[in-house]
Amino acid sequence: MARIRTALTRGRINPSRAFREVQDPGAGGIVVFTGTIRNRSEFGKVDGLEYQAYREMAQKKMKAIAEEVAKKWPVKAVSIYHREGRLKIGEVSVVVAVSSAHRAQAFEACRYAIDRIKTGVPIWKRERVRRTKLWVEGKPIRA
Amino acid sequence: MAKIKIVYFAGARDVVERQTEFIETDAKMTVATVLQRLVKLHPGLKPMTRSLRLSVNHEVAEPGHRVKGGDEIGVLPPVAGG
Repeated sequence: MARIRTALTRGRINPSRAFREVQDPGAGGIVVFTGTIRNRSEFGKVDGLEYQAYREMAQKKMKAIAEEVAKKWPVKAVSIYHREGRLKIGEVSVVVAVSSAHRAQAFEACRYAIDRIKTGVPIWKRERVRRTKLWVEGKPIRA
Repeated sequence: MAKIKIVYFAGARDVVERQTEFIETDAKMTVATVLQRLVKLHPGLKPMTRSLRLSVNHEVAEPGHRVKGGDEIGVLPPVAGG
């Protein structure tokens, strides 16, 4: 059984910790995706942003995605972390770490997980642009 | 009469100006009729109705899903995590 760790957190995310968590003697590859806050968006220059989450459901969905990944690919471990609350430019908003016997599976599984996080977890992003706060128009949530 | 809890998020929360509220439910209520009720209570939701999804007890629910007393309904605008 793959080791799974997921968390929605107000504190800073440490990608190195996620990397260490998924290290495994049986792994030939580890892929760590790190999402960071960009200084520009479709609205213009971004000064900062805030994630709002439907906590209970978001935690449940993050865990379900990690479990789904572990079912679809022969991964050794999956760690998924997502921030909530206010973040500054450059800060880490999300980390997905996957270890697997072979790199192709680790890349695929990691890519799948981050894509699912974007469409299947109830988290919203509000950007601060020119002193106004705007909700980023995302995609309707998918089951 | 049984009640259901409604929890609003993001733009929907801004429009209704509250995080949660309770509404009365009847035996025939579905996700679709709950949404109709909410739009009636808060006409400001109307422009975003088509993009809203509702969850029932932390699972995304189809319009025909039956709602019962004690359920928690999330009003979810398009999501933008990651």
